[in-house]
Amino acid sequence: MASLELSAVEKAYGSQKVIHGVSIDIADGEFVALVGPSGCGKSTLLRMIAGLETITEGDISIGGRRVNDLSPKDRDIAMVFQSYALYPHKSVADNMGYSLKLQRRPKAEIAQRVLEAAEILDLVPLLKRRPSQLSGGQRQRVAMGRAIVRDPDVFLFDEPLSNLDAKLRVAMRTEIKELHHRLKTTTVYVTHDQIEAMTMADRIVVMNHGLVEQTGTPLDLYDNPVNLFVAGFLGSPAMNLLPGRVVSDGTASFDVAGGGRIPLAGGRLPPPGTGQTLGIRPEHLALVPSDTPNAIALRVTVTEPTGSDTMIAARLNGTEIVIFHKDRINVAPGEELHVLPQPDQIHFFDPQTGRRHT
Amino acid sequence: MAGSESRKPFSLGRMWSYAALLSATAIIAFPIYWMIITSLKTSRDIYRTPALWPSRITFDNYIKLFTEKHFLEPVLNSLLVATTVTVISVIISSFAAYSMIRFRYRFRGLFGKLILFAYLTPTSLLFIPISILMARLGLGNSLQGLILVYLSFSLPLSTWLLQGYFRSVPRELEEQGMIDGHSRLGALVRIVLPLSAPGIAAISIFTFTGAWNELLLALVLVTSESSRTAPLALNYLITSDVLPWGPLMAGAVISSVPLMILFFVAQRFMVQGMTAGSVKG
Repeated sequence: MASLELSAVEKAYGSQKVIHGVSIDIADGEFVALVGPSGCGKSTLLRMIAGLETITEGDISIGGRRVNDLSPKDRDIAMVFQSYALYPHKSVADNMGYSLKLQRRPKAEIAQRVLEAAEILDLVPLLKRRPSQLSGGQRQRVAMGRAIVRDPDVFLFDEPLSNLDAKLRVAMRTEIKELHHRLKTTTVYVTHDQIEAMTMADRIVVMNHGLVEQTGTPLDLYDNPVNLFVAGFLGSPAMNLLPGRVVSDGTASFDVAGGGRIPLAGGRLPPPGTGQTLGIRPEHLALVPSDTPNAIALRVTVTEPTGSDTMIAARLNGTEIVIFHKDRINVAPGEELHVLPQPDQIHFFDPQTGRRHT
Repeated sequence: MAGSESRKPFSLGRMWSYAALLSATAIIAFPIYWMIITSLKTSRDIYRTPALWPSRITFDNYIKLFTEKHFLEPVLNSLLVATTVTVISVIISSFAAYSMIRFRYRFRGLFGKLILFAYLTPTSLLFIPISILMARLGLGNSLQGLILVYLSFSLPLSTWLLQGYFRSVPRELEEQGMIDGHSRLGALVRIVLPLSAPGIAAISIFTFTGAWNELLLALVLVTSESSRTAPLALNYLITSDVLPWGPLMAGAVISSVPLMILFFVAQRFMVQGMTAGSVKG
């Protein structure tokens, strides 16, 4: 186990820069998720940590040792690929023990360590099989087993659950999390799925266009996004982002650009008259009776009941607003609905810079 | 019965299939049969009215071939040339194909096109330049020279075919190999090459067969008797207008045996080799 430090790391292919000076400190035993949309550079960054991509500028250190010029095998890392990358011509046991074999460890030790890892992951009955004889979930576990056997300083996961079906993904999520609690190995986990990042990581690094947008604990990022990108990226359904401006005629309110008005209950508001984007999460819009003071009237367009909760898409004049209601509700498209935003959960962002107004 | 619907033993369609297969087999196999049978006939039998079966089976032609015509030396020469060309070809084309699919460098595409271009150039166009080149290099009339020339023809095809194979090996497997403890070269040798074994087998067979059967370039480049390859030695059995059919056919049989064994063992790879590279993009 070891800490991992990235300082001002840059990557360029020729003149094309893809990582623009990323600095992240990951503590010993920490589980950090790198999230962001496709092409944001998260996988490239992970591959740079693994040594599969060269580092153009900056330094990467594992356990205080600068590893920029070390080959992947000398970095003491283990990686789990999205495609699992199991050797098709080797059995499960040989796949798992291959790194130890290359280290010329005694056969008995390799067998013992493979067995231990297989027991953790319920792979013992599969040890003699070939990867082609395994299901997707089993292959995934073998890939993790291979990483565990090695007992590395750092685990690197590159979208390991993307090829699994939804149910298995949830199960594996729990399994990886349990595994981390048990082994306490420093982990960097790349995913484009913000739910995975939110549920698994101690800390999330949100990336976009080769830059770190924000770093923090999942709930901190969820509650206090520093900019429009993070606000829109984290959370499912996504945060409602409404363009408009703050007006103050006795009481403060927000004029939505598409028409309609949202009452504001004070607090630190941006200066009136300036263009702003108001952000509010779907679960922070409470359904209220129509006679409630300051209630906003919306026209329902779509309802999506899941059984335990209901997602409602509705319109405030021309602007679509999503509401997440933690119960069943009987409304049909076309009906009118009244909501009241939780005042302390309203965020304002500068539409030009994307930064949050504090 | 349910089964009788799908497997009628004597349906018309089946009979046509067998008829077509039998005639194709007959057309292909008859020259081979004729070659073998002629090699076992006496001279009298050969020059009499052609018969499908010899009146007397004799091994005189084989004995004559090896004692009077010293055919063992050209066979050994051929074996040496074909094996050397195959081994060197596999090694060099593996590295060349690997570099072309894994590394980014300037003129990579141009190199790829040049390789294909070299492969597509008709051999007969190159007789004169090659013979001059070999003579200037001091490699004319030698097996080394022949090996070098054959390599220049086998490498483009081998490189081209292997590229297709290497492309079908996921990059992650190799990267996993590098994380597990291999160097890049180690990952190539221990991960990529074993997974491309059918491709390696296919190019080995193509190359070996090509070098084993080649006559025209050998005819142009080799003059001394001690450096003759098997096809060349067979060719030199013909003096002026005399065709010694018996020893010629015996030599042809001997020359065919290694290839027949090779094809019989590796026909599975041949088919895979010809299709895999082309469809896996």
